[in-house]
Amino acid sequence: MADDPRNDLLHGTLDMLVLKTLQLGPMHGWGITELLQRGSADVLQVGQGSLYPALYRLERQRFIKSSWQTTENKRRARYYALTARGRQRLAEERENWARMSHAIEMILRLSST
Amino acid sequence: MRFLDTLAEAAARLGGWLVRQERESRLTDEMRFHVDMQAEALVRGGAEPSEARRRALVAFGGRERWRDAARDEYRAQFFDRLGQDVRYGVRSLLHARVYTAAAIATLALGIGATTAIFSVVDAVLLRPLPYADPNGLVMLWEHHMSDVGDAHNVTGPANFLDWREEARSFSAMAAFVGTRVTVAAAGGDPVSEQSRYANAALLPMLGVKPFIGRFYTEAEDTPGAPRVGVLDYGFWQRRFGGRRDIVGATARINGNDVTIVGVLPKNFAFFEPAAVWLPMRFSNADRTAGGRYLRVLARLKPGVSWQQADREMKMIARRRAVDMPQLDANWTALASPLRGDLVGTSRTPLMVLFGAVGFLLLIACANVANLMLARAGDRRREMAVRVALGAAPRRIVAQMLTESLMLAVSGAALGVLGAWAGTRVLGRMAPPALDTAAVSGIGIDGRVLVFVICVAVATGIAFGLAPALQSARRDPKDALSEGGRGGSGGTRRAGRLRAALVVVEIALAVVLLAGAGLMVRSLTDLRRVPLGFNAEHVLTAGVVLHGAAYNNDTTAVGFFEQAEQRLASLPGVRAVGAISWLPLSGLRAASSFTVVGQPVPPLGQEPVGDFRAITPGYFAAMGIPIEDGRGLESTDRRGGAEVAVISHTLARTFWPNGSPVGHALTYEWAGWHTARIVGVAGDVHHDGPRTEPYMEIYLPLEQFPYSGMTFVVRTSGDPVAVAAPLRAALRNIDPGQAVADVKPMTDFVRASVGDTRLDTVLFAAFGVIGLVLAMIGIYGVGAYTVQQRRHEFGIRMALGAQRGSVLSMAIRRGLVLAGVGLAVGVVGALSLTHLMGTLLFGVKPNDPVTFVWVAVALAAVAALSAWVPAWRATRLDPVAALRSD
Repeated sequence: MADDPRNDLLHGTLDMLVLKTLQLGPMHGWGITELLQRGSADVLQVGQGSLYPALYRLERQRFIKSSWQTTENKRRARYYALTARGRQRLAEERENWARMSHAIEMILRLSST
Repeated sequence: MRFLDTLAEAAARLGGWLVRQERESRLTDEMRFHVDMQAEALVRGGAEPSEARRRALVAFGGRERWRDAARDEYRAQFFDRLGQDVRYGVRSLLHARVYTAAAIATLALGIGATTAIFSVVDAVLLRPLPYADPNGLVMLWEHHMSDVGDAHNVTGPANFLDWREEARSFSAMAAFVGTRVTVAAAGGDPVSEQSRYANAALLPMLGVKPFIGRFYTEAEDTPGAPRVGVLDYGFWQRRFGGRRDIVGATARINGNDVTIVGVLPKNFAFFEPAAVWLPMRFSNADRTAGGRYLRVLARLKPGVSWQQADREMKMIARRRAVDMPQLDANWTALASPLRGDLVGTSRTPLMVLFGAVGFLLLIACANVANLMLARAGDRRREMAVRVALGAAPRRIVAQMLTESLMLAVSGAALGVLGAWAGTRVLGRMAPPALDTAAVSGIGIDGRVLVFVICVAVATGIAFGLAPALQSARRDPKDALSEGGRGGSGGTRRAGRLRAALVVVEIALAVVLLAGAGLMVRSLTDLRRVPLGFNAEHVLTAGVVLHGAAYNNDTTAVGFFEQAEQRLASLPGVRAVGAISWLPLSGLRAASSFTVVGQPVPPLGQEPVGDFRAITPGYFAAMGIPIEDGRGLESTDRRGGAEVAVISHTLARTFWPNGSPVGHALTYEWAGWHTARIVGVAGDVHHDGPRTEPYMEIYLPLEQFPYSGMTFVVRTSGDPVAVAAPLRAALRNIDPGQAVADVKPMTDFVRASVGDTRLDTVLFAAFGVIGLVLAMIGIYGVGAYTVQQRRHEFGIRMALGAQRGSVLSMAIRRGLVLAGVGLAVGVVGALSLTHLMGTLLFGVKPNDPVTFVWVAVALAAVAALSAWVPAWRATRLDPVAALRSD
């Protein structure tokens, strides 16, 4: 992952976005991809090469948990759900994000005149 | 260590494989679902199904690439990690060789010694006796008013028969006495075996069942009944090859035909080993017989306590003292629980050793804790680097845990070996009374082993984890920037803890060393006690004559005289004598006497002397000096004037200024006798160096006939070389007589201080181990201090500080700790060593010489342990020391 600078940039952000989507309810990997894509009006295109490693990482850190479930189309899929820890983590990341984007915004608004 | 590595690798592989199977199937399933969904979405968007699938796969991207990435995240699983931790642990422990060796040795010693000692204490003191309802069994004894303490004296048949009829506290009572008997089996040399006469009630009282056959009955335990006997299992195996048809067969025992009616079960033991059990066969004459030689076992009636029985025995004794004053004046009787008498004098040494080993375990734990703290201190930087590189705190803790467990397992494995060896050695310390029954059953006690391992391992983990947790939680930036200078609150606290641990270790080591020192001094003093004879180059051989030919005193004495002449003519023999009860054999015959011409003391308060029959050659053969008058001579014959040689102590007691030669003694031994004193012999410690010499009365065998004598043969060379010719010569005179205990006199001497020697060795071992552990502790603290202040020392030296002043700064802490520990330890030792009481000989528990030596030794060792790291500090290159941070 480290060989792709864009992934690096996404690293922290992707985790936060995944947590956010799961806050809406348990979902499988494909559903998360779809939601991120549609929710951002096709701006965010998450590659599977990033999504699944992120899911496994978050699961290992016990921010999310997973189990095999059946979809409405009677297919077997791995569903991911937010844990209490994950909820807390999401709140922290949101706050960080808000602070960060505010800071960046302030910098960008500096004018030379 | 390579083996460990391989093992860890194998475990990791197996675990990894299992995890991998599950992981791969999950990855595959999840990927397939994703691609299917994508393809369906494309189909909904109007694509051809096959085309949609192809595009979905492409979109999914380099399949293997994301798989790898996913695996990396996923694989961080238990087994993979354990393998990693173990490999890393092995490397890291190998890197710190001294630390590893110290920790493993500490654990092994602590676990091994504690388990071994506790197992023995448990078997001897705590476990129930191997008899039916052992709490209901008591021993009945007599006690002479003049004896100090609560000495347990054997009783005589007259008193025993009276007790058995009159005492109401008991449901059964039996007397027994040990004796040597000669057993002649068909077609073999006769053998002399330690055996036992006992009443028929004894074996049933102990709840023992015959292995084969039966035990003898009350009817067979009467004079005139057909002679029967019971064999010990071991003797039956050894002598009769375990033949079952022995039951009903006849054996020739002491010249009589005895029918063997049964065999005792394997591993049965009761006081001394006994090869043959024979009925007592008390007769009416025994109701008035004098002499005390019987031990008595009784079973309490249900609901009667041994204290109640004891009170009844004392009442009976008061009545007997009035009814039979010539026998029982000034005697009382008592009952005591069987266990106390079986354990005997082993109790104190075992309890003291138990205490000592507890201390050793404490030292070991303190040391493990100390080592763990020191190591954690050393590794703070390493941990900080790992945290900075992204290691999760949990990961670091797991690593430390793995290392602690590896140390603990290695130490425990060695400890089990040590415990096994220790129980072998200590089994020999147990009293012979419990010999086969309890002691052969002494194994390593599983519960104890588990307990001790848990204590040691828990210590290691607790003191290894605490600092690890701390360093894992800390901001690595602090730890890294603080560098070698140290000084955060956490490390200072750990430093204080370590200092306290070292003080405790030293104090405990001082107590152990003081105990060891006192034991060594006792042993030296014991060895230095002149026993009163010269044991070098002396061979002993015991013969107890049996058979109708020797029922007459003249023929018995004739045998010994003839034998003495034959032995004297053997090559390499310089002198030969014989004595009825050999010094240090544990046998004696005491009786009261009076001095003719001195006031007669009241009945029951006559002086008691130790009577021994000897041949004229005895004093010369044993090297016992004649201090006054003459020894006994071949002219002192039966029917002639009765004579006696008395010992120095007896002479000084009654004739403090003059010579006793020409005076006379009266004594009762198979009738009243008056013997003229013809000489004074040097004192002999007949019961070993711990017992003061008795008032001894030596009588000529001619005038005091006795059928069991021990030859003492003084040789010019190795006494053992004479053993075979000696046996041959005796067999030549009468092939029907058994010869026992053919061994050098020095064996008896060695055995007489055997217990003390073993106690000393154990204590010395504990002391030394404690000292070594304390040394490691002091060294560790010193090395740590130097490590912490390296930067400071560097600056000081760069600014021109003398080596000496740096040395003293670096050494001070170690010495201060040693001083505090020493002071605490000396106070502790002074209040504890008195518990060693009876273990000691010749030294007081607060012996100043010992304490000074202990203090000096410990101070020296402490100084050395503190000096080594301090000296290293002075070798520091100031430039390197400054740059290292």
